[in-house]
Amino acid sequence: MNWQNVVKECSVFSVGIVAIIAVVRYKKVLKAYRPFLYFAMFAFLNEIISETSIKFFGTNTVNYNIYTLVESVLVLWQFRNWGLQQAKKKLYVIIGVLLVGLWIVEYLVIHSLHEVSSIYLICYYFILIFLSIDQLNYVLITERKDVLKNSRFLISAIFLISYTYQAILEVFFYIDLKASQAFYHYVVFIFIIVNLFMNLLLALAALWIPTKQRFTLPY
Amino acid sequence: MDTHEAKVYTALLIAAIIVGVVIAYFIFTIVIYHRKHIALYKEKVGAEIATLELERKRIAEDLHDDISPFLSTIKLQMNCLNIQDEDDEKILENNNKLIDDILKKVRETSNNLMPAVLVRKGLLYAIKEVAETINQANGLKVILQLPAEPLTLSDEQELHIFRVFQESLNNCIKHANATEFLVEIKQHEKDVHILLRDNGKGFNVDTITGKRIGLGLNNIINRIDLLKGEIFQNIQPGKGVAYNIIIPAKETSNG
Repeated sequence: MNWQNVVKECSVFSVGIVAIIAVVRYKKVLKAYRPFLYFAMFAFLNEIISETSIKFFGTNTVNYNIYTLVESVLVLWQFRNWGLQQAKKKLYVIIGVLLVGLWIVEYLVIHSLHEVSSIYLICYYFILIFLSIDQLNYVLITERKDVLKNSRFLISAIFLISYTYQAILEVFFYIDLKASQAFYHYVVFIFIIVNLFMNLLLALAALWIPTKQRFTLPY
Repeated sequence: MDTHEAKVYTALLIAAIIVGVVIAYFIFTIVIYHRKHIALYKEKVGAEIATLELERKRIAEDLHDDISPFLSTIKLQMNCLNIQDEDDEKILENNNKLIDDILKKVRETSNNLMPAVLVRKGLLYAIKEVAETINQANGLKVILQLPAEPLTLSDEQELHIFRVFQESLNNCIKHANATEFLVEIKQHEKDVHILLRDNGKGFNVDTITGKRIGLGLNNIINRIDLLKGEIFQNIQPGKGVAYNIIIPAKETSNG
């Protein structure tokens, strides 16, 4: 196994660290953060299924396509829980319905679950980027202590970075440069390294999820 | 990869690094400026609260030391008058009562502004005094679970905690429709834990942002921030209001 494969495996299973923290801290943390914990657990489960699927069937397209739907619903649920403090309940429900509708149209009507498609992912990633920026701004006007120790700030910042790269990557695949397999391999490798760092930071954010609801108001 | 692909890949790699650096720098500056902003905000709030407390203290002292003696002197001099007429006697009697009422009011106002018992005997006695007054006068029952020993808190810390207690109790009386208000204080080795809880109607915290009710609550949070403490909430509509406050204890010298 060369060093690139080692990095790839580390990146793939680094989400396992977040998942383990999620399982251990599940009952201790605030209920509002549970969607994030489910997100970490499902992400790890998806990585295991993907590895198994690639080993036996040579592809992980089906489970990946289903996972993107589950992930988007869980992440939106998490943003909705945070958004309750900003009284934006309806916004997240509308976005959720639109995203699920788009997923159904793309993967069940236009294409199939066995095909790789980018439109849904590009839309989902851009929505998440905007929601993350919104959350970052909200934390900035409410947090009176160090924002770096605020898990909501950290998770939003990680989502911002991670999904910006993923959106760029998806747009890149969508354009289809007709380049060689080796070229795409190297392109994906950039994302793998980003993913590794982001997962390690997510683990930190998972450790800092509060156990009690701090009382705070915009200042 | 051929030469063209290698060039595209290099460009992409550089673009990815630039995007990463820009986002990372953006977040880094946000964190740095947030820290600066918070430090300035705390400084400003600290100065405002200090000024407020100084003014309260000055007004309380003026009321207690200047107005009260004047009124007492007036009363004394009025009682020295030799009045023969029965009507005048009645007027004098009424004026005596009025002066007594004013003296009582002045003492109450002075005490509300800066409780003498807080200055002389400390936080626990001040809370007990307020609780006794409320229990006698109101439909609300204040239940106290206080330590027997004095707390390891500075005078400033005690004053801020007392104001938080006052604010919380006032909110309870004004808005909560509660029948009980619990004050529990526990002294730990490194900090003091305070629980303020009522059994009233509670409220939805998510809906108070930007409304007037937020002013008093902001005052509570600002004072706890000044003390480098933490405040946790358990507030739900219909289930009362509970604040858990943790204040770092005053460091005691070992020598």
